[in-house]
Amino acid sequence: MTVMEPNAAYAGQELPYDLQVGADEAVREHHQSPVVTADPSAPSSAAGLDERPPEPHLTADEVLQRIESRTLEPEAAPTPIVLPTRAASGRYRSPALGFQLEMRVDIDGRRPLRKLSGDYYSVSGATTTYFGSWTVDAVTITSTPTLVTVVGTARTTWTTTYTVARVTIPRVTIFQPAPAATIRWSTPTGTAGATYVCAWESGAFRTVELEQDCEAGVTAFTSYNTGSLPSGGPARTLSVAGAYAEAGVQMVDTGATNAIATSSSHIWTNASLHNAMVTHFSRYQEQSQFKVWLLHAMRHELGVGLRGIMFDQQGLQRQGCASFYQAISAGTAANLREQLYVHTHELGHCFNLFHSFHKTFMTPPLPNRPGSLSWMNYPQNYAPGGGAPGGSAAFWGAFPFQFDDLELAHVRHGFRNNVIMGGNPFGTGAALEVDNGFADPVVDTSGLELRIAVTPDRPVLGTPVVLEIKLVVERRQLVHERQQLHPKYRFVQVAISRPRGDVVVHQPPVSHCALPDLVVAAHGEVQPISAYIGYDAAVGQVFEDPGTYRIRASYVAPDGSLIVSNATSVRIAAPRTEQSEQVADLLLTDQAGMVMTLLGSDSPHLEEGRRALEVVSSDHPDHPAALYTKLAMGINASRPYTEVLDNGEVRVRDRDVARGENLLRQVVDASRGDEGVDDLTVYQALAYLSDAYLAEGDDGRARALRDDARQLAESKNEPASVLRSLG
Amino acid sequence: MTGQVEVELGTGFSDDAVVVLLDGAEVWRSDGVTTNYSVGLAGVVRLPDDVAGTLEVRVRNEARSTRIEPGEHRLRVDLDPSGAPRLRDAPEGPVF
Repeated sequence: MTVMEPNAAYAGQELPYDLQVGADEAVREHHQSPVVTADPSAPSSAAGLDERPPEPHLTADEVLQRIESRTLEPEAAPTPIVLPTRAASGRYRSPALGFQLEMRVDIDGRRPLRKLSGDYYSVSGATTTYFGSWTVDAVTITSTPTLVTVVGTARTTWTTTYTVARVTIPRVTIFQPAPAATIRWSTPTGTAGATYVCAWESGAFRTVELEQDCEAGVTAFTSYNTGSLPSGGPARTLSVAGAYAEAGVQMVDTGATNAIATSSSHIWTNASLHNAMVTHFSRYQEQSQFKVWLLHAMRHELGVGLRGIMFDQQGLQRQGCASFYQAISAGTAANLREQLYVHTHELGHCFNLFHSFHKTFMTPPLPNRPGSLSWMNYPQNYAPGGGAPGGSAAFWGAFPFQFDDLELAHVRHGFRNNVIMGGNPFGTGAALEVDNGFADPVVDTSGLELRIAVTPDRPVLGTPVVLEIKLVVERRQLVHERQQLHPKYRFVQVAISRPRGDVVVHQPPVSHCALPDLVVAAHGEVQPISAYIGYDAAVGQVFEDPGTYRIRASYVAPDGSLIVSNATSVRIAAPRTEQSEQVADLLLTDQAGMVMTLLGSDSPHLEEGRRALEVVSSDHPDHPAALYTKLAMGINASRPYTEVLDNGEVRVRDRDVARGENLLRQVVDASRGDEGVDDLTVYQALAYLSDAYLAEGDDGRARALRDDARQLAESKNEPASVLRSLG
Repeated sequence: MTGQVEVELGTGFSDDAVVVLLDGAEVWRSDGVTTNYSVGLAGVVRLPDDVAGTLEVRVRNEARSTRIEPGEHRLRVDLDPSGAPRLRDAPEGPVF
């Protein structure tokens, strides 16, 4: 997969000249625009944004009120009125041209962290796919009366030398439209990179859709006045959305609230919670998205002490959480405070935040912070150290109802997959999605879907692993011909996350360089293919350890759309018998993997691998792998083998159709039902054998085999594309 | 809640097989025990009310035991970074 570099100034990626000029003009225009009532020498405007005390952004009405209050003062001295400038912090977005940048500027407003961050999206055809993230952890801010400049060095999720970010934002009053932010990348030595002009999008760093459902009998929390009981911050009325707004996250209610009818004694389990989420969360999808579900429930099987849980830890995680009111349902101030705390806390887990005292369990770990006055601590665990009192009373008395700074930095500026719901697993930074090209598209109007599944279901170590790939066409369009969906044609790529912790982007040992063979696929058409993925050109044997492997595939459609498949997993069982161990030893070699990839070979360079397949077939015929070894040997026997000798002579071994049929017949007969090898491989075996008979002039036998394959495919309701291929 | 005995399986569990025994007899077993760090718990083992005897927890080829008398008990097992279990009284307070 070709991966361009968004920070470099590629000719094709650079902004169009007219846009670039427009951007510069926009900046210049703001430079030249007199701020009518501003005093350039006044500290509030000239001394820089970082010297202003943090205060909420003023609305136009609030400013007018301030102006009016001044005019009513008795001494009517002609004091110049300084209009507040608009805060620069917030979220900006560049046009969707090649790469689209969502940029977050965090230099003023509430709790400014002096950071920049951004996510790149690759726009290709009808798909927009996440590319990578960057964060500038510390910035230098300089400001003139008309311009703020923010400079710093970025950490990136991809490799680039263009790491120096220089962001400029015109300063305007709150009555003027929010200006665009321009980011220019360069190397540390000053070589210019790409430039993006990003229009202002929101004062929030992130926007998340929140859906809250409520179990029957539960009165869902709405808000709490933090001044009701002693606390460490200013009194204000906070809802869950308000708590997140203070963190810079806009929580948008989906408006699809459900009342979930359960019996009065209902007790939730994590499994039933997940099922409820899948059923009731109107935005639920098995993909990463800034959408989250919160259930207000009564009780959980873990007991009355459980106030809440982020239960979603299967598949793509962190999309749902629940709070339990059993012990805190009465509407006392203390209960309302705890309800607010629990809701915000559980949603914090959905943002991939760990408890303050569990940070060491994260991947990678961080030191615990038991003295943190944060939503993510336990009040009773609060331990500020230094002899200061700890525990619940001390915590609540000092708690300002906020995340701590490191958590705030994560929520606002963490790399996208570390934050987004359905991104990296809870507490984990390493996952398949890290690899470029296999992230879920955020926009997909391609009308194509890629589905994958693994056969066999639970292979024992050494059994060849086959991936079934299906392209589902939801709208009539050109796609690649079915056979070209095999990874060896490179239009489909497969990534495998292995239990040892690495990710293999599969490189088939044999690649077919072919011109795209495109066909018009009708609405609803399905193009399936199966591919052996057990052996790789770069890493050799892929599935050589017992454990769970996660697999995803991507397909580059003719219009450039990047279609990402579902994620599937396969658990490779450890060998439990001596026979299984022997089979694993025989088949998990480079030569055996290559012979399986080639579906057999007479090459003397692969003699050891070929012998391994023969031993498995003859000595371990009951082992599941034996069907695959017979398949390879049968295919190989059914075709001639041409060998170029050292002296230049060519030696041809003729096809042995009888031996081929004997072997392939065993495979086919063992696989007509639900057992054995996958159906597509069965059809392939029969078709291959048919072609061999045809080449030998036995048309009748060839036709009979084709008919057998076709009837079998029809009985299994295979799609038209498969039936067509069987003639 | 009279005499209820609970054993919290806490932090550090990752696809572990756990066995709980009372006076040497197996009373609970589970495979695939994994900590959910949103609550710091992998599970709660509930034993019959008012049991007494030597309670033993086995995990990762190690065992920890304690003597319990009839009555209410809440115990907790956490695995340290090396995987060694630690058995103690469960801390008070809600979890979330």
